[in-house]
Amino acid sequence: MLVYVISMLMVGLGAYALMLKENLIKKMIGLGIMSNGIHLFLISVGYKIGGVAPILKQAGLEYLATHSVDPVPQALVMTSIVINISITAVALSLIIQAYRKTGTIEADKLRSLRG
Amino acid sequence: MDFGTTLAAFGITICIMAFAWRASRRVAPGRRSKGKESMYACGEKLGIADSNVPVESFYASIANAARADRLRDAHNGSLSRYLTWVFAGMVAVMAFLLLLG
Amino acid sequence: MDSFYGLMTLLITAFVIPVVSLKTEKLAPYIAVASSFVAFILSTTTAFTVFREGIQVQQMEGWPAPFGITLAVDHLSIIPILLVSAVGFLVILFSFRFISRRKTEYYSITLLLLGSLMGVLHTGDMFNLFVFLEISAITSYILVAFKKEKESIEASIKYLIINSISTSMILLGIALLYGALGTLNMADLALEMSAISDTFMPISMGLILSGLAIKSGFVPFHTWLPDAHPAAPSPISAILSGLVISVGMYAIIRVSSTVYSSYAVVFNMLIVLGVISMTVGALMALMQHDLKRMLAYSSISQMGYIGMAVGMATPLGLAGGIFHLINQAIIKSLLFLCSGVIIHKAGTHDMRKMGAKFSSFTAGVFLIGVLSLAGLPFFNGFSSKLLIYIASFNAFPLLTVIAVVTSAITAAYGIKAFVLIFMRNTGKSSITGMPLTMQIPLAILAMLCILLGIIPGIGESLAGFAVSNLNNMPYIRAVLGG
Repeated sequence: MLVYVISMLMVGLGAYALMLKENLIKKMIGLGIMSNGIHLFLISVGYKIGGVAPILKQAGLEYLATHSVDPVPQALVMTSIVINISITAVALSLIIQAYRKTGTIEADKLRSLRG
Repeated sequence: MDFGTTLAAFGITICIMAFAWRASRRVAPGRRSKGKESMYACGEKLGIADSNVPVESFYASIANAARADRLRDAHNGSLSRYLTWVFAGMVAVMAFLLLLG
Repeated sequence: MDSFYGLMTLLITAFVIPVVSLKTEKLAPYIAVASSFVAFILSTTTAFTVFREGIQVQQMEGWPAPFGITLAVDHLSIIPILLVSAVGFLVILFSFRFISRRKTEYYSITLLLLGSLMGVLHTGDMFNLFVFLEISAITSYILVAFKKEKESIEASIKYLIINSISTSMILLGIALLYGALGTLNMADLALEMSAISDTFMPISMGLILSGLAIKSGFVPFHTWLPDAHPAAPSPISAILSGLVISVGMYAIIRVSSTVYSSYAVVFNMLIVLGVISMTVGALMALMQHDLKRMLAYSSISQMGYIGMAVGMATPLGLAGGIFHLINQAIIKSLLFLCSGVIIHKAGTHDMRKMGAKFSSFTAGVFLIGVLSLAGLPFFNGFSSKLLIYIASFNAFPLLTVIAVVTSAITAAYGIKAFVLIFMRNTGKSSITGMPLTMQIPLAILAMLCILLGIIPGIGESLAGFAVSNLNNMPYIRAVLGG
């Protein structure tokens, strides 16, 4: 239960940084915190108290089926982490290009498209 | 209403119109003149440049009536304002779905 | 399933092109045109199979239904599949002579974008939908910033940040769904949803709907669209405005009619969002001077029409909405491709300053696009808008009044654009002639506009097949095997 509260707090903190901070790098950090909060939420959905990692070992398939945590959210979160890496890579290269073209990385100075 | 009645109504209308035409010719007899018989203004090209149509501001009255310039000023390019709208819209959607669902 | 092989062709070719370009860059356009044509042929083959035999289902790697990833093509999916492959092929044919620098990057990332859009349309699994939507989003961030000018970089940064909220919200919605129901297959979710009724369901639906509404351009979430669609090169604007937002709308229709079909309040939310988008988009488009920005606001307005029509949740409304989706994609791609030619010849984006002499082919094709957008009879916009008017009149007559007035405003800005661009000749351009590979896509799209207008039965029967989706039992039975 505590994990869910903490992950929602992380999402809120990331959303605050994304919305209200003006520096683009701070917005990226906020985005990272928000997505990590959602990943934490998703992994803890599959958690079982006293569960083991879903790796097939000596004890056999029956033990794994009854004692392991849910492996599906772990797969979903791994996919999502890879997606977030790609987004962060593209975002950081865009920020570098923005700095080269305009000399600033403050979001309220990048305002030439309006109306 | 059958065929005979329609035909009779048509005939009466024609008679009334003929009467009115004869009366108007007696009141104001037409006179021929040189200007009336000559060619009117047809066949000359009138381009957009010659006609004084203000194309760029033609529909400005619609935008002014709907106070749309306030809408355009609201899109002022600042990313934080756009993100605030997105989050406010999301809160409105969730409220709508929770309260009316 | 043949069109799935078309999808794989697009994705694999996207990675073959950079390898081949290590040797020579000249082959890249030819490989791209060939692979998109193959994808188009395979989608038409699948279309014939679906119309003859019904829903086509394939499980990836043989894992049975609720545990594996399902690929399901039914009558609702086949329409955007045909649209994406056809318009994608025409746009790549157009960019043959339009894009002259950095062809490797352009073609390989555009093929990735088209492949990911096809992926969204084939999948029957919620998380697979999310992954393919994200691939299409990341490739479009790169393509919006393709020209590397100040405005393009700024537009791409704004698009990225606003779309990243969409990513997070869809993922949070999917996490809530999995936590409550334990499965992510769309057919299985539809079955389990009617068994459980929680407060989780409106929250997860709200999160997923907000995320998809950001991608489709509904009004409080639309602010990235008028900056991103003009900043991209013109063929990419055609793909973004024609196909990407249509696929976002398809995802909304799929999630709300297949998964959340027991929640009627979702459709009311779509009507509200649709009406607001219609009016705001049309009013903002009336005040624009930049040609492509006006077309971008026009896309927002047309998406509002589709949202309102789908939200009626009646067969006539859904048919009108899907038919308008097809028409909006064709018309908007036509107008954006045409605007590429116009801006290249006139040298400026501003409609008030364009005075060059254009060829009558360009003028004719743009006029067909504008008249279809306005909804003139004998063009395709009329048929779909008529269905939307009738559907909304049966439910709320006030909405029909708003829709008709917005249609008048649409006609106003379209005709204003045509007169400003084409009828004030001062004859100062030195660029003449359009290459054949640029004329063919424009001509084919214009002929489709007229064809769907003269014989609206084609579009109506296509949309009518898809309307059978209002009841999701055939889909569930086909996927989960009876």
